[in-house]
Amino acid sequence: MLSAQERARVAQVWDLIAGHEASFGAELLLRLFTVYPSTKSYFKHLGFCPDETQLLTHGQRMLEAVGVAVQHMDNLRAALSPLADLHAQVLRVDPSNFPLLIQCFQVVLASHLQGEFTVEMQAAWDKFLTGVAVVLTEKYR
Amino acid sequence: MVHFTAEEKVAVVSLWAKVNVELVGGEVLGRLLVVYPWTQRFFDSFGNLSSESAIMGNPKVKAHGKKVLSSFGNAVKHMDDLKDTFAELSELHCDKLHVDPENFKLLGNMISIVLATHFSKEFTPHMQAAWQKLTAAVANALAHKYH
Repeated sequence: MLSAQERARVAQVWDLIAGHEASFGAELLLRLFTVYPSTKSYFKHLGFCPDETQLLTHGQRMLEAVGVAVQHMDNLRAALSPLADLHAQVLRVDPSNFPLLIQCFQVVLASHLQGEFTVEMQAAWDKFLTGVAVVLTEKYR
Repeated sequence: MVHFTAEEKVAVVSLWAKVNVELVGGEVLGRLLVVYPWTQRFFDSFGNLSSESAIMGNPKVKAHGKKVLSSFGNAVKHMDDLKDTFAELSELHCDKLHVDPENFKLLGNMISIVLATHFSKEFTPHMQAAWQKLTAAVANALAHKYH
């Protein structure tokens, strides 16, 4: 699905954020909850106003999973199978929410990388994250 | 009707004052055409859209991007009255341009991303929320007269 050039661009973006999974993940979640408050319905365990520690912990977990996806772009289904099971059987996040998360992810990347977040990188990253979302929701039914 | 709080209005207006409409407009439309290539279907007359650099450098894309973003300037001035403000444009997009309203949402999302590249930390979560609310409301207003 991703061309060699697109994979290179995805890896390029990841290199720029690797090591910052917690802070990027926390910002991602904060933006998600601020811009799309209904998404908080999936995070009742974090409370109505998640604190920084909770955001950092959960954000890191999510970004680390994205890192796994980056390492296995040629075999997302196998690499993300346990997470796909989790989403299908336990989390059951409505698929309409993934584009919201992807939008916030793009904004996080854009605000940190600014001009370095070229249109080519944005296109590759958007395609990549959309592919991840497809895999995570594939076992829903 | 969408209600914007005083804080949301201040956030939108203050950022808008710093936006280079020509530059940002061109980038927004260019990125839309690259990231979602099917949106090129509306721009057959625009000439060379064959590569990312062709699209981003295309003078017609830049000019049209500026035109589209300028109309957002109108939205910023009439945040309490978007449906009426965009009534004519809504009819135009339905009757003459035949644009699927889903595209308005895609463009709106692209505006937030490009603003983030320009304004970085200043484009806080609350700033993003205000802008995404505005672009979603404009998208709805543009779809309102569809029949």
